[in-house]
Amino acid sequence: MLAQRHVDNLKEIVGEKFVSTDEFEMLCYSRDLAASIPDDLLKSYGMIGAEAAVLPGDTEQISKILAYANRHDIPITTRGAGSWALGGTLPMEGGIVIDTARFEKILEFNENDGYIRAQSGVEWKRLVDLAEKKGLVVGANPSSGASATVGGYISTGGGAGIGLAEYGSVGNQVVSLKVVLADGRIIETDPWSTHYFVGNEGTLGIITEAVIKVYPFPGRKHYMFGVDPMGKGVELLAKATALRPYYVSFLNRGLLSMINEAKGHHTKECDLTISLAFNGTKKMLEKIDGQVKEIFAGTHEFDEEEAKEEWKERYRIGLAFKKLGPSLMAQDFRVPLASVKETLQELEAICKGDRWGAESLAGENDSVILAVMILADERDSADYIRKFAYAKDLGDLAKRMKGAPFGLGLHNAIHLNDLYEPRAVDTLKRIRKHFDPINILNPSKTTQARIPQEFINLSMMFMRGIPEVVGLGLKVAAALPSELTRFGLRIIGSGIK
Amino acid sequence: MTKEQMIRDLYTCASCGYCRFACPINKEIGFESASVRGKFLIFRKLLEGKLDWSDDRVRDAVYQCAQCEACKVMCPTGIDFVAINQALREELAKRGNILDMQKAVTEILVEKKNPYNEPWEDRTNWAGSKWQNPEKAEYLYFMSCTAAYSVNRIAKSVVKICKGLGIEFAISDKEACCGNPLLRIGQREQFQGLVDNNVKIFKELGVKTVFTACAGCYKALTHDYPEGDWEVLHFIQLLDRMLSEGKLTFKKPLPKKVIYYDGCDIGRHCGIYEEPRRVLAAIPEIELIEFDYNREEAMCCGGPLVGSYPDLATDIPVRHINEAVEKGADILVSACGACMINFKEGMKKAGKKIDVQDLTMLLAKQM
Repeated sequence: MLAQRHVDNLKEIVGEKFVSTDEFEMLCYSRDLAASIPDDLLKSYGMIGAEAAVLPGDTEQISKILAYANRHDIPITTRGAGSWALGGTLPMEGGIVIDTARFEKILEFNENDGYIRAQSGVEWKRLVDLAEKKGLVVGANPSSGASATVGGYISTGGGAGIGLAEYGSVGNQVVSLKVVLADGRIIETDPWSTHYFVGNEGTLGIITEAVIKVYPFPGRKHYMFGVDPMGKGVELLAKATALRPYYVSFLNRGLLSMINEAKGHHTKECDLTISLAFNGTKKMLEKIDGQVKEIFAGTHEFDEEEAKEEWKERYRIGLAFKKLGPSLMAQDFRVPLASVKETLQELEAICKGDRWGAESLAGENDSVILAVMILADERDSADYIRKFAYAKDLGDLAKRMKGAPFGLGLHNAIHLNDLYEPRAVDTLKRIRKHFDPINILNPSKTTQARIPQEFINLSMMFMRGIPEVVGLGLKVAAALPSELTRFGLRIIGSGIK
Repeated sequence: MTKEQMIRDLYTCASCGYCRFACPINKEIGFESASVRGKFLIFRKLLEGKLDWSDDRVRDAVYQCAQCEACKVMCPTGIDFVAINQALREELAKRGNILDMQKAVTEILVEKKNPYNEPWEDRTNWAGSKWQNPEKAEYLYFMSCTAAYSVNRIAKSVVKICKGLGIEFAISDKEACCGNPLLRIGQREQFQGLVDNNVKIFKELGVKTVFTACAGCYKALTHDYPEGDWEVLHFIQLLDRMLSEGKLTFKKPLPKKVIYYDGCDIGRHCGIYEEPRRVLAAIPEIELIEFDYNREEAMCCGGPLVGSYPDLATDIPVRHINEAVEKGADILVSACGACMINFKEGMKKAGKKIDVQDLTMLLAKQM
């Protein structure tokens, strides 16, 4: 529990109304998108949970909070919308959660110079909607844009989403950032220093403002095609991606079937249903139209209204079937476009016996981000724990396909050594140490794996084989005093602060 | 909604947070516990017996909701949060864990059949002595408590417009509140008493069309009343019909920028978006403009919270006032009396002025 004097000082900085230590609030701030991770598992991870939640109103207030936290060694977890499934905003080490909800202003639309300046708590949907009303298009933006914030997407690397096939990842779109460093200093980044803060997951500083490029938006055309068999669909997907669409995504048959069932729809089900959108002038779109029609000749073309409907649903489509679970086991990973066919084939074998589906989004450099979702019911503890083991299977599959798990956060930190060469890992750790010497910013994430990979692998084997026993074990572990759990985790080499 | 259905829905929530940015309460309070996904975590613990129904924080988590349905529109998993919220309200009301203001309003509504604490028999006073209760009627104007007791000009505007269009209608001094405020508190039994009273009037008069200019009444009459041999229309739907038949014209021009606000009851709940815009657009020289987020995506003004959390309720419309002023609107028009009243309060907090008008009253002036 955070000492009262710390709470009082926080209130002094941001105002009483914007600090909470209420247990209901702490419950909410100790969860993120992956709300279905069992309490017992998080307790077994030695999570302390939020001890205070704060809603600062401006950059200076964040600066004061960080300077204070730095002096008193209080962990800080920054939270945008908490809409990432990798536990990136879980306050594993307790301390203060800084919620950027009040950083909600779009400060400037500069049509002449082609940029938007926005505060970090602005949700992407609003940014995209308002830009398009002004005849501007935003480059990379997340498929969870109805909640994902400017700061959150940039902090998590923005390597998947909408606009990437045409404009590249969000790192290419950021002109500059206003960032508060761990000791409270406020900096404005330049093109050389911006990249430190793209994808660092809140471990090097807190983004409070971003200047983001925008482009003229002359018009858009939408397409949707149903393709059989899957191999042909992947081949056509690669050809269409080469045309640099603004939006390219597919649903496999399993996913569309679940959406149809959940929503009572009767959309024609094919092995792959591919959605595309291109931006351009009328002349450019006419030229692209010819190329697209040629690529997809002989497949099932949905009419443009249906394609537009899918586009309107782009933020929602990936979860539209969840009520069939009602829980999901989900894993996102990146694979090269050339490996998509083989990956989908292997998924059929890996997920056999469970109901699953996959959707894709464009990633960087002709990669594809696959989101694999398996229906589950967390109220059935043993079945749910068994399905947790998919995390390892899918991670291994990504590696075999020369891909990688997407993002690190809490859950994927174990893959750090698979993603980077040892020297690169060392560099990342040194950069982190340089920016945050006493380790207050989002500790136990990214470069600080909570539990060593070998132990995770072993536990995944048990989860698959003897889920009931694992469930019992988690209950016992969760019942232990937190300090004892954390002591045990330290012994096995946990990255606990 | 059964407890099992509720629990399943609570587990269906993906915690994606889409509801967070749509919710006017969450935007105002900012903390996660004010978001729907946050409330779901709390409700899960409540329904699993880990929290106490008598906890004031549970009560606030339930009642600090405008039931505006913006979250339902945004929810990718299709959860009907308002249905869950309503079921919890009814349970809290049964257990007596409601606000003192809500208890007082319940008593007044049961006794006087209006929330303004006015004598029931004064309901048609605004109409003067020449109005008489007919024995039979084809059209019944369901006045609403606001038009009958608080903003009589709405009722008088309806009369003026109907006279101009040659629509003959009846009013009834036996009319009681539609019951919407009771239902929102969770007092279903008391609500049913008012429903029975009003349905009896409709049957006795043999009405074919019940129309009202109140968005809340319209929502209750179409969503929460039993179906009968009568059609229920919002007044703006009736006017839109007249417009399409060429019977409705406006004589007076309105050379102003007018921004129409989609109240939640008439908009998201009842799907009436285009009718007000078509009728307003028929006024000569009017320039209609839009909020950035309108129709299904319009943000609730917080009006439904005026009777329970007035301070919070009147903080919310500051955003709407600021946007309307920034867009250069001269008039902010709404089809909902509660929105109109709340916008006027919001103006004080925003420290900005804009002419806030009720749709019916504005249209009557332009006839």
